[in-house]
Amino acid sequence: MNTMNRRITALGGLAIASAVAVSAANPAAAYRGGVGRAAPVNRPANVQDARSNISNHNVNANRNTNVNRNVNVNQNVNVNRNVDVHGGYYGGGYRYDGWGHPVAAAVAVTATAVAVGTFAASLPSSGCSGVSIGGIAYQHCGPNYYQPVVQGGTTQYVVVAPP
Amino acid sequence: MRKSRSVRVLVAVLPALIAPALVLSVRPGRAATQPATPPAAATPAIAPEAKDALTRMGAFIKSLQTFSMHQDIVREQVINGDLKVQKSSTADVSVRQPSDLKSEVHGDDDRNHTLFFDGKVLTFYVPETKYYAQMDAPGTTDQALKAAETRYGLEFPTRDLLFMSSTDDLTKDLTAAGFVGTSRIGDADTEHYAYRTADIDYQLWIQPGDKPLPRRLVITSKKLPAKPQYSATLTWDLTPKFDDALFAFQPPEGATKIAFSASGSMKNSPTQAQPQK
Repeated sequence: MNTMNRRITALGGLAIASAVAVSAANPAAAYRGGVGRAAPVNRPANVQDARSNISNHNVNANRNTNVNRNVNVNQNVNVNRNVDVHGGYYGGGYRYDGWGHPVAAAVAVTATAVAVGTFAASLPSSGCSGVSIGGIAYQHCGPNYYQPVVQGGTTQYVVVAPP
Repeated sequence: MRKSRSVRVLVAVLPALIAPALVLSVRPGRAATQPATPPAAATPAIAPEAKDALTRMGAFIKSLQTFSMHQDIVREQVINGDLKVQKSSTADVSVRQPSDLKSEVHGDDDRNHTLFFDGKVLTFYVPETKYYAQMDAPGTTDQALKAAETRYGLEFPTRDLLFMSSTDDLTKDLTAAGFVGTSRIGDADTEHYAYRTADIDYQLWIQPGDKPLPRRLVITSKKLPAKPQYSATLTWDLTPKFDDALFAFQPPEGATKIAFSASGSMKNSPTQAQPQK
């Protein structure tokens, strides 16, 4: 993790070195992704939504669940923001994807296998092909099979064993 | 006249609203200038006027057979405990009671989707990907939405206001309630009320008169330290023209059916983000 954070700091060119030390206020400390990582973006546990209902029927009411997350399918948006929030939450070629997580733009599909059961809000931006096996739709990206599902009100892609 | 009433009510109720544990009257055996240490038992302060407004609003909405509404929503997200950002969305909702619903949502974070319900099947459709997921839910719209929320974490904002089995659904959880003042929202001079429950505080701006519709709803999640707010501004059409086709989902060409995933199965922690070496 420290390697990851230092890489982010260096590439971002931002003065967040002091913030690499774990600080609840610094979003950079929550980052798990990094430039060059082609693995799918996973959902961090550090983004919380305001409640949108007066009475709550969600069995997971106490979890930091967010509904209506990003659906980023094959997007090639590279937003270079220069908003100085906590020493550079945005910027350095990163795009804030709504998960409190930087997403390197236009990430190509990876040859690396991703753990089965991993959820991702978006697929790699290229190299995926849609397949239907046994009546179920998958996205085949490199060695990984992603099954799109609707979870909490948004589309998520869960890594499954090759069908 | 209205101003003096509101000021009078505000003075009487708002302190109790803010600190329901404080009793405003003088306790026997103590001097009148006793410092306000909270008594052992908290006294709920639900102003009858505010509770009645909620009941009247609920009853009116329940009486509507068909309506459509537009919602402008701003929802705060909290990053890492204290960085708040606002996310915006709109929803166009068409309701034909008891079991027809269409809700078209556009918003930040690519949350565009359309929800359909026809008394049998709830469909969640994403136009950009043409994915759709369906859930069997025979019954009323209220039942279907509650089942979807419980099973799949699918939230339908303003569900509580639009669909309730009884007006008691709203009033039974109140710990405090009060009238705040009058406030102009859109084309209406509304009456602004504040309510508290154990988990949240919320505010409603309700049209006066014979159509007590909510024009704004703000919910404060006070259990989160940053206390993020959800805010919805509402406009209503009580005489919409609907036909059955509006609520029926027909998969367009190229649409792909996918599954709902139970929210309990979400186990992705940051440690799972690591690719296998």
